Amino acid sequence: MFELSFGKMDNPVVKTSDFGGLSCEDLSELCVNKIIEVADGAPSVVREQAKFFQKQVQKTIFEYLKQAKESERATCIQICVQGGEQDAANLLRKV
Amino acid sequence: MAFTTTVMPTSFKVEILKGVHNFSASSGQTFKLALYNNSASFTAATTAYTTTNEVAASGSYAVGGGALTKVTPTSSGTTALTDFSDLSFTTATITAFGALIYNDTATGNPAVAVLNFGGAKTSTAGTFTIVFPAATATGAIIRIV
Repeated sequence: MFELSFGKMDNPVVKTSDFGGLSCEDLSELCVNKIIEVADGAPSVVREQAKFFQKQVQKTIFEYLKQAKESERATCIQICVQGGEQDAANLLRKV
Repeated sequence: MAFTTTVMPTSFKVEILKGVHNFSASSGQTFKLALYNNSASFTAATTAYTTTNEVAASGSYAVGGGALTKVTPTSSGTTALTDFSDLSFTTATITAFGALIYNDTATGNPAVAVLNFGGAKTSTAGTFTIVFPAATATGAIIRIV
């Protein structure tokens, strides 16, 4: 009488990196895709506007992610310096 | 023997009707995601988690996989949905072709979803992130429409 169906499951997206974490570009892309979804079926004018807005938001997220990384690195360097770990601090400065 | 499909196991559909799974974020059960090599052959007939063909522990990845952060089931229009936050394994050297989401709390570790990555995904001493879709009526990983 009633039929329940499960929505189609798409293949998941996987992001990987080598010798370190994901880049700010990767993270900002993941972030913006969670915030703004552009429907394939939307009218082309709406879709173009949405994609433009998406790019602008991604740029902003990217800039603040970069600042967050630099800020966190500066904190880590200070922890190393205050702990007498100058070599570790210098390594972090080179990142 | 390979990953060929992203699919919801039939056993999971039965278990939904039996009330086996609870996806509530705060009071729900623990769900995990385990990664597999290309010798794994999961289908809709898959019923539970297995260590066979699971990738080796590396970095923050341990055998059994990682615990998922749940999105409490909700509705959008007439669609009910639940989802998970992205899951990352760090400082990990991994090559995986797919994954199995399973209920780590329920007896027998019943399967929830088989995920096909569409090919080999590799991280070398890096981060391996599984990106879940936005929790919407058209995108969420588990939707009842």
